[in-house]
Amino acid sequence: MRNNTVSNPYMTLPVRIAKVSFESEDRSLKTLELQFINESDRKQFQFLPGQFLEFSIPGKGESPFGIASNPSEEIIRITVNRTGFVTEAIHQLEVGDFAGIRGPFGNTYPLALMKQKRVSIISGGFAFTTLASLLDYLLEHEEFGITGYDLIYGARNPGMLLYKSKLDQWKGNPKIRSIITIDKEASGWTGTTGFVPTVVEQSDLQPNQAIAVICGPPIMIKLTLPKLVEKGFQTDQVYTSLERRMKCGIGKCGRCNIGPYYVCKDGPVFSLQQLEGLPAEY
Amino acid sequence: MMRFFKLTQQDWEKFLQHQSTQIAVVSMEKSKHPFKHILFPPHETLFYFRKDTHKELSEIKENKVLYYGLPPCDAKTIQLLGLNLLADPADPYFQTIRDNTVIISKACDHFEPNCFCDQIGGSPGALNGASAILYTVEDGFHLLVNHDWLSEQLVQMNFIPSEVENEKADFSKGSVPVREIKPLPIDHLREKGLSTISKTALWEKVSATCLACGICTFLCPACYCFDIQDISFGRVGKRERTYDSCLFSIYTTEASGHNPRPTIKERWRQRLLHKFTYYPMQYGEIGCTGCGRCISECPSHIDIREVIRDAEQYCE
Repeated sequence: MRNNTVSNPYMTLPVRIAKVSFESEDRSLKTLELQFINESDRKQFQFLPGQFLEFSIPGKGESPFGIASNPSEEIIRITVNRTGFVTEAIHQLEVGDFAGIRGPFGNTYPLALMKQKRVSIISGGFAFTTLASLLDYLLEHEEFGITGYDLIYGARNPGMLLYKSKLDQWKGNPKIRSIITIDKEASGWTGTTGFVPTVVEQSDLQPNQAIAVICGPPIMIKLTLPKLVEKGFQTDQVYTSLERRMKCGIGKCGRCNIGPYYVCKDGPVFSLQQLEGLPAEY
Repeated sequence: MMRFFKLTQQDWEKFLQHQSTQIAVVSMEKSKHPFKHILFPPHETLFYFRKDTHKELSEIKENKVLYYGLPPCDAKTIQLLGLNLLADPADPYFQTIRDNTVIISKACDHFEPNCFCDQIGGSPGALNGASAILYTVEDGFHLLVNHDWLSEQLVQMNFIPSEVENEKADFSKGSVPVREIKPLPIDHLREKGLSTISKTALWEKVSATCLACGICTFLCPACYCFDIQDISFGRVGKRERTYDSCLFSIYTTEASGHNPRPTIKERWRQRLLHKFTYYPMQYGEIGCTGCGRCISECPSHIDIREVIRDAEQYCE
């Protein structure tokens, strides 16, 4: 018999729910802050923006979530969309409850490639999680010498925008040109309206010395990519983070296989160049 | 180090008898159920948990077992599954079973109707992933051993080994059947398989009669896809993994309802290309042993050999 202390990639690290808050007006999105029970686990859990974890409730199961917190924060933050069996159970969790996590898994955004470049972040809906981590991380690490940021972020309505206090903070940062957009006009909304692909088309995103990162629902990605290509972005300048129905997180269970890749291990971050010629199974 | 032993029928029986006083010795033969079911069981408990204390306990048994008599295509399972399951981080359950498994396969003396190992670069006398392989010869057996522990056991019983100088030499010569048969065009899929992705006509044809029952994947010695589910008994429970199949719609369906592989067309494409294109791209080997179970047991009589030949025409 073995216990949790022996390295077994299927067994979880215990965490306590430190904070829970509704992220969206319709209560479908909840943000959880997780605190490790064992300090040594936190030290071991070294991640970078783009990576994900498996969140486990014994008896209910596991689901993968992109890590939304800045790596330098003590807690680990995830945002959970209530949509299935496990996520329903996660939404029932309260402060003080215990759960388990595994990870961090997968690769990171191409941080080394971003050095001395402009970073254009394009996102829609609740796929914004790991991008918030990326933006926080790059802003904190000035040694990357990012020359400037674009942030184009869209949601169905103002109530569905994630991390509103952060969005306000970033709006006031002179290094970030941010366009926050909602699908159609709503009372009290004075910002941009329109779908993300259209906003991208009308923006003056510059491909020169830039890396674009795009995350969102498949249809948004599909419609936005041609707009980036029209603006002159090459396929090795555009990165996306894929989501699949993953189970193991360590490239064993086979479910997230796309061509020669396992999304959980070789991804979730891929350049468009890598995805060219592979089945569009995402 | 590879070694070669000449054994009489009596020697062989003596060896098995001696082993069975020390470890479990299991006689095998080719059957509908692949050897995979032992190395990588259809249901496997990952760990037990308590919901109240949040303790997890995993049970990994280390029992040494010697399996003998299985065909080389079944022995190959240990090699093919290992490419994936032992890649970093290694799967501790598979690794423990593998490390405690000694396989003495037996070279086949005939081809069954759906056997095709010799059409995909294999042979009914190949060592593949086995610890040793037994060749039947006129006056007994030739045993080719590629396993230090096993060699030692034989030497301790005073069997005299001869060193194998050329590991690539064909030891099966004369004791396995050879037939004139055209190889399957797997190299096309290996090199140009990606070009078939957009060939809807091909996938429509191969998937037209498929019921998506998944029997081909469950019985395949090279398939390893699994699902993870929790089973609760009040405050305690266990996390289990069970075989899964790329042919099932729920395999890729996401909680939102979106399915990246919506029809059997995409799922069949995944099954074929994962074996003959993606697996070679990832690990250098095709995910097929030529055992023929997927042909024998398919309720729709789909023959993967025909699919491979069909696909050849679509490779560009």
